[in-house]
Amino acid sequence: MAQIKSLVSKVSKEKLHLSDKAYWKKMRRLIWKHRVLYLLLLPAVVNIFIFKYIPMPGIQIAWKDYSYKKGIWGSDWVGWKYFRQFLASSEFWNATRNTLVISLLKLAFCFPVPIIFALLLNELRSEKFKKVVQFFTYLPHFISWVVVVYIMRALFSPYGGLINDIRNAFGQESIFFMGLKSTFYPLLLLSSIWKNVGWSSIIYIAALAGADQELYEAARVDGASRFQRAWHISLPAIIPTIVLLFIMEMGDLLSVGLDQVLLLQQPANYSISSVLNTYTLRTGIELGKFEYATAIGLTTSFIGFVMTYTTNKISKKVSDISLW
Amino acid sequence: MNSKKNQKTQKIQGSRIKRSTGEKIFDGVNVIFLAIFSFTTFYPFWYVLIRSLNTGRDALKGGIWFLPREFTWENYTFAFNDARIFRSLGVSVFITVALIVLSLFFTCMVAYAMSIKYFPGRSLFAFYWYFTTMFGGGMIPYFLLLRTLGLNKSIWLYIIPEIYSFSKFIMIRTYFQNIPYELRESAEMDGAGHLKTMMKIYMPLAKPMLATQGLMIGVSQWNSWYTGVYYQAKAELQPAASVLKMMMTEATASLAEAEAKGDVIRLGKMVTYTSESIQYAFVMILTIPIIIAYPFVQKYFVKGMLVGSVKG
Repeated sequence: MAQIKSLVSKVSKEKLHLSDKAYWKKMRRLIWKHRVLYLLLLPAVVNIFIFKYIPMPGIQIAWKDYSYKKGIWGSDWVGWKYFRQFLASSEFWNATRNTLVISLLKLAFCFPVPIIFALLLNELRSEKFKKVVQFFTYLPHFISWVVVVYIMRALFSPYGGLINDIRNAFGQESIFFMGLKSTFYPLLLLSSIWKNVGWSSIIYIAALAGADQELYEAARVDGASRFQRAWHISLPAIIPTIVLLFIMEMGDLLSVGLDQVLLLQQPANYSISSVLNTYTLRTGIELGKFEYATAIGLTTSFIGFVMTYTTNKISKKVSDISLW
Repeated sequence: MNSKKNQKTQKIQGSRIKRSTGEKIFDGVNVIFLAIFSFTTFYPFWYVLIRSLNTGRDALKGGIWFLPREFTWENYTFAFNDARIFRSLGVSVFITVALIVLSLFFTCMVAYAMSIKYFPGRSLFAFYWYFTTMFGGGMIPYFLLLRTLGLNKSIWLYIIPEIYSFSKFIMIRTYFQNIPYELRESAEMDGAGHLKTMMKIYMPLAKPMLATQGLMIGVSQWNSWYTGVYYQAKAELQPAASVLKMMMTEATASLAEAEAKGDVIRLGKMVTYTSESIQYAFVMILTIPIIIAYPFVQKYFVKGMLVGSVKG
């Protein structure tokens, strides 16, 4: 929203105290004067119209029987048929449950780690060492999920993978980690933490750098221990950031990382790894049930919006922190 | 992050009274913990690298932890000689370079125009674009559009729809706005038009910002596999990351098991590589460019992310 406010700088008719005729004359002159600017904007207007605006009314196929011949607009209306269909499907509810489980697991395990990491980093006395740690931990963020999953396959491979080497050294059997149902959640959380911790901590580190340094000094003089200072000064300094990110996470509760889940999905773990996003993709693109997938997609993004809105409202009431 | 502030912090911390034993222990443990943490983030890359430099058959026995046991380049030779891999790398290079160039140029055009404080329709355009960041048609209508346009059978699928990104536009526009207005005026006096002013004055002055944005665009394009797998109808137009994903789906557990148990015979000869070892080489070919570029861009990325998060 802030972006928009800064972009808006109106010269309104009222401000200039002009008559209609004079106003339009002035406008025409201004438009003509800036004609080259409109040429610069033209490709963007067209591109955005085609790739962003044209798909928008396409959501109507959720209420239609899409036929390739008749096109999106010409297809017949069928009302809430596809909504009823997916609400009655057990696969949909299974995907919903999996989505919520994964989101909540991530919220419980992956959300706090960058915060702890930032606090620990903040306690480091050597700036140089801090830079080194940051250098290494930011790296995985820039690597594709495909590559990350391949790296996992190498590490967890039953044929010469490091983890199974270690298991063997302790006299245990090799396990096919990537293809088991029971290891799906742990691997999902672990890879998520591995890839994102460093990068997600940046925003907290920045907030910590903004904490009042004199407070630390005063607390120190008053005999506050290291832990007390971290608890009473560092943590409160990042709480607004934590709340903001939490609200954003709530909005994404139903859209867990498509990339990661899709790549870790195996026939063996399908019953717990099928989430709403992958289910929509599978029914929509792979099976070609366009109407059905659009109906699900619409519903989940609507719920996501409502959740962000609600969390934001609660947070506004409780703590005065809000997204907008 | 903020080096001045950090220096100040250090000074304050330096002037402190002596640390207690408990604090010293904490500091020691903290350093060790974070060192181990950094090691575990980096080690997996190293692990795949050494496995890609080891003969595939030998690697299946395990025990390669720090250095290759049977060193070889053959996995890389085979990867580059594989027509599918080689072509996909070509596609990746092309779409990455093309998107960087086109996206930067076209975004600069918009950013330049929008950096001018007022002209009729300016805020209308800002809203027109901003609106699309909040609402969209979703996966299926977008897919149908690509099909109607025939983009799903073209290499431009990865480029044309990706040219304009709102967040990158905001960053470049903000940079342009900080360029003194007098420069524009004096260029105008010299008779330079808008396009000339943009290309001869604004773009050169914004080089650091453009380099950063260009690299960000490049990294995400190089890494993206989704569009290639789900929207591209022609297999030969898939970029490297998509092909890697396809290989993952194709490589079944049974093949790996067969390779692990028996001797692998390909084209009537016993070979030392496995499909896995070649894939690891492919993985490294995709990763190494990013690891090389990473040190140069890391600090800019961090800055960029903070600007983005404060503004957005």
